[in-house]
Amino acid sequence: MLKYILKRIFLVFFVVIGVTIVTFSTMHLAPGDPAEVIAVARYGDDLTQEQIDWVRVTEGFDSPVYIQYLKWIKHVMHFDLGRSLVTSHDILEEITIRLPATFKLAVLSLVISLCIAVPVGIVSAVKKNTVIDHLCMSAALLGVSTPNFWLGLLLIWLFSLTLNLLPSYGYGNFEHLVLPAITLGTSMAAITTRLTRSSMLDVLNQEYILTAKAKGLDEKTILLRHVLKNAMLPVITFAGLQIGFLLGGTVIVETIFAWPGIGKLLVDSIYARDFAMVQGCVLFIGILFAFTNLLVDITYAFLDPRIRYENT
Amino acid sequence: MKILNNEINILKEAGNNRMAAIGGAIVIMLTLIAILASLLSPHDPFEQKLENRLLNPCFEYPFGTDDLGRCIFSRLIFGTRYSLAIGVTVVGITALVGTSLGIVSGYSRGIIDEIIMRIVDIVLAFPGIILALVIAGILGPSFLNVVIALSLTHWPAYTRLVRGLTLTLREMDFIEGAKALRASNIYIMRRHILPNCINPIIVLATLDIAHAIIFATALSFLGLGIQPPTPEWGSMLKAGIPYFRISPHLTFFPGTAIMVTVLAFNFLGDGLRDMIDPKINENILVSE
Repeated sequence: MLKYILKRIFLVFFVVIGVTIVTFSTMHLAPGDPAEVIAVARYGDDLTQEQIDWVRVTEGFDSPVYIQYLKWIKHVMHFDLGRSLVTSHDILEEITIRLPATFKLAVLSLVISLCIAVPVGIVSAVKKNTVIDHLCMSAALLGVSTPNFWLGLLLIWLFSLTLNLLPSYGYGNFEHLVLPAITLGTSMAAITTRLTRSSMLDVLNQEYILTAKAKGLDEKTILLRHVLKNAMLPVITFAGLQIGFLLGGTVIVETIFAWPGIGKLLVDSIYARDFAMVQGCVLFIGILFAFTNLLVDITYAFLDPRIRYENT
Repeated sequence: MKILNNEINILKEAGNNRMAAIGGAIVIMLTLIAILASLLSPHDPFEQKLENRLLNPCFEYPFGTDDLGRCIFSRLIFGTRYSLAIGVTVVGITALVGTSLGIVSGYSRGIIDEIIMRIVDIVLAFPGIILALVIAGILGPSFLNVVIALSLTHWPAYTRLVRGLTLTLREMDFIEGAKALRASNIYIMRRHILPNCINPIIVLATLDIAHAIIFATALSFLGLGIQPPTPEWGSMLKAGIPYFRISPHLTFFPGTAIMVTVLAFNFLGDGLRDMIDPKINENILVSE
């Protein structure tokens, strides 16, 4: 298992380097001269050539790209992501301030999605091809097909505008968190339900289930002791996928509900053409995602004996 | 015990085929609407009649009018063109590129495989829509840039799927046979491996159109995709938000249009998957 974990860690290291390269390139992807782009963000549209040259020299755009990259990496390794082009706030500080909001939203959404998806997926698999199964799967397909910005608007319309029960935007107490978390949680639940069901069905078709049945175990024991335990493994593997969906979803949901997390920071920075901040957010999200995936892989290794006893 | 019954359930087969049929029918209908948009729409989608602004659905304007007095029904009809065009273009590009890379990767193994798969890892290292969002945001809002942003982020799904299939296929006897007959590698990849991968690719592509449409409308919704006055569903939705309280129909109809279209492609994809090969691992095909 150690070999497996070391291999994972090596891969994450590699992915993180890739993430820094992609993130660094985003700045150079912008049409036109990056020095000019920064100068516009800093001094406005009325630019003199001197101002652009000044930015070029101070930001180091006159040196070759790989030197710029290495310089940037050196700063990043010292947790220095630079300053916002618009507000000149420290980027990492700004992200850390926003982090709790995103974290709250993500965790509650994950909890909501699991609370819906796992029971529904199990019932659906056990009652395969019954009316219940068809209903659950139709609902799940509808959920997969509903963009979360549309679901968010529908919930606002129902709970805020029509029923006047919950606030439609803002940050503060728990009430503000309910609608964003339900939006993100239910759209995630749709995917997880389908995964749980198909994973349950896979396990139900295994020979060891037939053995358990031949031993004369009752259905409940088989389901709880044999099926569920094995069926949850793929669901955990895809927790990585879920976290990706979650992080992507927060961007849209935070924007709709004016929830001051990292996703909204990213979108607002794109609007403001604050590329330094965009770069910081993307780097942060990319690295966060890489490490949560690593964590998922390691948890998986502990849970799955097939990996645990490999090469020991 | 019923749940342990392994035999194929004929009812399910019929049910799934029906799903594919319904999905397919809606997709064909949407395609016709897109092609015949100018014949079907009762009004000019760009024509502003300020005296008719924010009308509720009525006989002349079936879905009402927007804040500039434009016919929402006509705009939705023209919007079909943009969503379908983006979905098909993105999937066309990504399926072609992703599949080619996947076959080369799985067939050649070694260093080429390693390089391609590491690039895949890096692209997939950015969760969901974020990379597309940033690319579209930096390039600036336009149809072409939406296609570029989505294409750059969507191809790894095909590469992973096809590489996995190729790895299994290349060990099979008929490939050995082809090699013994001195067929060139390119010939083997094109004539022996590709045809055996095509069914799962079709399923993935169908589901991916749904995915691309959601992403494209999300970009427009955030103001980073196709811009007004173009009658694109995502940007219509965005434009309706300020009037959400008094005239919810401004957002309701575009939202429903997106949902129905996406649902149709998902129906078709799911149905096709069960028809073509029920053994395709659903996990691979659940959107990334």
